[in-house]
Amino acid sequence: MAEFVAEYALALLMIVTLLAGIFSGYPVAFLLGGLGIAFAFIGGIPIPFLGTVGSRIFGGVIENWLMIAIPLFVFMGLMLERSGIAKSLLLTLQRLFGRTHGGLAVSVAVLGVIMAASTGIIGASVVMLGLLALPVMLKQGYHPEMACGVIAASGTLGILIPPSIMLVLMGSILQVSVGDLFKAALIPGLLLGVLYIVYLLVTARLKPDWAPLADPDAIDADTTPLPLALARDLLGPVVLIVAVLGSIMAGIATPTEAAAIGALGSLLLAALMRSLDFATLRDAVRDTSRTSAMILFVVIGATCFSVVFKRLGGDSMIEEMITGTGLGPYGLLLLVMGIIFVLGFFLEWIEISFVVLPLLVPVVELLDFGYGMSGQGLMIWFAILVAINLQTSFLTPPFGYALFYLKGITQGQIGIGTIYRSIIPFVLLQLTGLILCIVFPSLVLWLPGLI
Amino acid sequence: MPHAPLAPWRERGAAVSAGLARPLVGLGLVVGRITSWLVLLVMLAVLTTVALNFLGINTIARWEGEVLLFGDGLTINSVTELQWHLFGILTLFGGTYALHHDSHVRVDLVYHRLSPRGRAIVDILGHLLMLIPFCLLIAWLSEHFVRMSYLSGEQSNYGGLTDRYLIKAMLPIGLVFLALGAFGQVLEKLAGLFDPARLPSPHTDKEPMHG
Amino acid sequence: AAGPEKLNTASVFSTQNFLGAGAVRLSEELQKATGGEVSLEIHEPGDLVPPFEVFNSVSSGAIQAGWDWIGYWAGTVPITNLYGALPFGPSPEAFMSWMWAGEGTELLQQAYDPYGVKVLPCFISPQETGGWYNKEINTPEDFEGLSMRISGLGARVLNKLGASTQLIPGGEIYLSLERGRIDATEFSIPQVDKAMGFDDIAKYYYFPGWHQSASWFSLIVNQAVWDEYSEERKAQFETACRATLQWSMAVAPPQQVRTIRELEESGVEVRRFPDPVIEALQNAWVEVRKEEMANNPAFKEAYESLMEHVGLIEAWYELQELPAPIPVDAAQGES
Ligand code: NA
Ligand code: NA
Repeated sequence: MAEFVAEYALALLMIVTLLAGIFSGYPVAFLLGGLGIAFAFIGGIPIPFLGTVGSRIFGGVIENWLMIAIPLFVFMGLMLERSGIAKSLLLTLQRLFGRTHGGLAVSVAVLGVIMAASTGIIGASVVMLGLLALPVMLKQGYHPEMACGVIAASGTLGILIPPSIMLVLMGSILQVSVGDLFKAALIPGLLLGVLYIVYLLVTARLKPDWAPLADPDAIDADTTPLPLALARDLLGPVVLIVAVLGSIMAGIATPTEAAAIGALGSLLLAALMRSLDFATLRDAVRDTSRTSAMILFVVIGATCFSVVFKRLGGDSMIEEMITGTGLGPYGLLLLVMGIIFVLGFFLEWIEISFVVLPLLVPVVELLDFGYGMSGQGLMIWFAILVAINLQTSFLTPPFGYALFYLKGITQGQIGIGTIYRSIIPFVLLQLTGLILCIVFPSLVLWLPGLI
Repeated sequence: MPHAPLAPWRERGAAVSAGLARPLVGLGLVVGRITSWLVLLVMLAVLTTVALNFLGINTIARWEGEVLLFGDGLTINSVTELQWHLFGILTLFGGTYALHHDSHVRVDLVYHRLSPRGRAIVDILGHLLMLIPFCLLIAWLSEHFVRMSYLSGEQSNYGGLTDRYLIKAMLPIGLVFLALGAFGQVLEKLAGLFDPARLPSPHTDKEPMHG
Repeated sequence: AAGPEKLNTASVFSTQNFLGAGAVRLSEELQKATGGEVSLEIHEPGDLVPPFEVFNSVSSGAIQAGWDWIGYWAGTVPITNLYGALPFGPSPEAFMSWMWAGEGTELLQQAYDPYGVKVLPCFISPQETGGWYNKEINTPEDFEGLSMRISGLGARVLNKLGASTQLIPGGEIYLSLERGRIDATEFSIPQVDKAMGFDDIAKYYYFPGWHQSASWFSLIVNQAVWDEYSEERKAQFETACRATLQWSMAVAPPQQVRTIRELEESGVEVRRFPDPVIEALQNAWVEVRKEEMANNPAFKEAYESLMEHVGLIEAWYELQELPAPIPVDAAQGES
C-alpha cells in the first residue's frame, strides 16, 4: 500500500487537489486546465509536451465532427422550451390520466419521456417540467416529495433517451457509433419511464393522500374532444421525434445531421406556435452559445488534465487498482459501476466521461461476459450502463444538477431536504433499471441488432 | 445597507480597476453576442450537406484562381469542413462569453455560502493561478502548430477547404481572448474588493442550462 | 546524450489490428537489435494526441515519435499521397525497390526536413481492395452520383467520373453504409476490413484497389531526438526497420486471401470491376495526375523518379516471364 502511494504520489495528489478545488466553487473547466499545467511543472514534465494539449483541443473538440451536434441539440431544446408545446400537451395528458390517483404524476412522467425523445439536454426538460407541473401538482394537494421526485427524474430522462448530447460525447470517447448508441439507449430509457410510472401508481394507491384527485371540472376546461386534442398536441413533438430519430434510423442523416434537422424543426415549430420573434431567437442563440461553450470547455480543460494525469502514471494506477482486486468480469463491472456511481455524487457527467471513462475502457475491453458479444457490442452495452449511471448522477445529492434546477424553480418554497428525500425512490428505480440492463444485455443490444 | 466612507486610496483603486475592466469585459460580451449567431450558420451548413448528399451533388462551383479558405471551388466537402470551422469559432469565443455571464459549471455547495467578498477572492485566485496560465501557455505552445500549417499551406485532403492555418490560428487567438476576459474579471472583482458596494448581491440565481 | 531508451511513440492505429501491430513488431525488432537497450513505448491512437495531429506534434517535439500511415500527412506534405495512396501505382515489391535502392526514402526525407522530422519507412501493406459497395458497378456511368467515403487522389479520380466523395468520421462509416447514407466505402486490406464488420452490411467487395497500389507506414522521429542517438544506434534502428518491413511483406498477402475466402463463405460477393470501368478510372487518373504534376513540383519529381525505377524492374521481369506454374496434381501421384 505504502509502495503504491509512493509510486503514484503525484497522480493521487492530482485527484485530491481536484476534489478540493472543486469544492472551492471555482469553475471546473478552468480548474482542470490549470491543474494540468501546474502538475506538469511539479512533475517535471518537459514543457514542449504540453504542446499536445493544443493538438488535443484542435483534434478532439474543434475538428471533431461529432461535437457539432452539441450546440445544435442545445438550440433545439431551448427553442422547444420556448415554443409552449409542452404546456398544452400536459393539460391534455391530464385529461387522459387525471381520473385515477396519481394520474397527474403519470402525466408528468409521460410528458418527460416525450420531451426526452425530442431534445438532447436535461436542463431544458427539468426547468420546463418544473415550471409547468410543480405549481399544478402542489395546488392539487400532491405531497411535495412525490411532485419533486417525478419532475427531477423524468426531466433527466432527456439525457438518456435519444437524442442526447451525453451519448454523442460518449461515442466520441469510446470510438463507437453514435447512431448505435442512440438505438441502444431507447429501450433502457423507456424502461426507466415505465418503472417510474409503475412506482407512481403503486404509491398513489398505497398513500392516496400523497396524490389526490383533481377537480373534474378543471380537467375538462378544454372542450376539444380528447382524441383530437391529443392528436393536436402530440403532432409537434412526434414530427420532431420522427425527423431526428427517424432520419438517423432511415439513413438520411448522421447524428450530427439529425441534430441540424431537429434544430430547424424546433425553429419551425416555434414559428408555427407563434412564439418566434427576434428577441426569442436572439436569446436562444446566446443561451446556446454559452451553454455549449460551458460543456465544451470542460472537455477542453479535461483534455489537459488527463494528458498530464496519464503522463504521471494515473492510467496505470487506475488499472492496477481495478485489476489488482482479482475479480471476475461481473465483479469488475460492478466495481466500475460502483466507482462511477460514487463519483456521480461529486462530479458531473462531463468530467466523469472525459477524465475517468478513458481510463476504464482498457479494463472493460478485456472482459468476457459470454453472450457472444462482439467488441463493438460489448462497448455499446458498457456505454449504456455508464449512461444510465451518469443520468443517475444528475439526481444524487449533494451535487445533482436536476436537484439544483428544481431548487432554483421552487424559490425557497420547498427545502433542499425535501428535494433530497423525494429523489431517493427514483435513484433506487434507476439502480433497478441498471441491474436489469446488466442481467439482460438484450434490453440494450436488441434494437441496434448487435446480439 | 449603509457603507462607511471609503478611504481615498480604496476609492481610487476601485475606480482604476473598474475602468480597466470595463473595456475588457465589454469586448468579450460584444464578440460573444456576435459569434452566438454562428449556431444558425452551423445549422445551415449541416443542412446544406444533407441536401447535397440527397441530390448526389459533389461540386457546387468551380472558378479560376485561388480564393482564401475556399481555394478554387466549392464542394460538398468544403461545406462539411465549414461546419467545424464555424463551430470552432462559436465554441472558442463562447467560452469567454460564458465567463462573463458566469455560466461555467461550478460546484457551488460551498461557494454558495461564501460572502460576496469570499467569492471574489476565489475567482481572482482561480483566474490568476489556473485559467490565465493555462490559456497563455497553451496559446504560446500552439504557435508551432499554426506556423507549420501556414508554411506548408495545409489544406483538406478531401477536396474541401484550403488555408487550414486560419482555423488553427483561432485556437491561440481564442485562448488569449479568454485570458484577456479573465483578466478583465480579475480587475472587476478587485474593484469589488476595494469597494464592496461594487460586489454583486449574494443572491445570484444563475442556473446554467446544464447538459 | 544517448537518446531515449523508451521512445514515446504515438500510433495512429490501434495495436490490436495488423496496421498498428507493425509498431509492436518494430519495437521487438529494435530490442533484438540493441540487446534490449532501446524499445518503443507505444501509445494507442488518441492517447497522447488525436491521430491527425501526430506529425505536427512530432515536428514540434511535443511527442518524440509516431507510427503512421504516410498518406495521413498529405494535407501538410502533399507528396505523401504518393507514398500512402498512389492510384495505379507499382506493386509493393517494385515500390520497395525504389524506396531502398532508388530515391524513394531520400525524396521523402527531403520533404520532411523542413519540419524537423526523421522518417523510417518500415512497413508496407499490400494493395488495398476496391472497397465495399452496395451498388453494382457495371459501367463507368455507375459512378455518377455514387456517394463514397474515400480521400486523397483516388477521391479526385472518382470526382471526375461524377461520384460524390465524402468525409465520414471513422466511427460513423459502418452505420452510414448500413443505412444508405453512403453507397460505398474504401477502408483497408481484407484482414482489417473484416474486423470492422463491413461484411455484415455491404453486398459487394470490389477488386482491384486501383486507388492505392501499395501503402507505406513509417516511424517518424523528432529530428532533435533522433540526433541524440549515436551512429550505431541509428544503424540499429535501420536494421530493425528493415526486419519489420520484410515481416510485413511476407505475412500480409497469404493472410488476405485466407480472409477473403472466409468473407465469401459468410455471403459477401467478391467482384472485379469490369475492364471498361478500370480503363475509365485509369484515364481519369491520368487527368488528375497531370493536374497534380502541374501544381506540385515535388510530386512531379518523385513520381517521375518512381516511374523510371519501376520501368527498370518491369523490363527485367518481362524478360524473365514464365508461364504460370502448373499446380501439383495429386491424381498423378506427385504428392
Ligand atoms: Na433526449
Ligand atoms: Na450527483
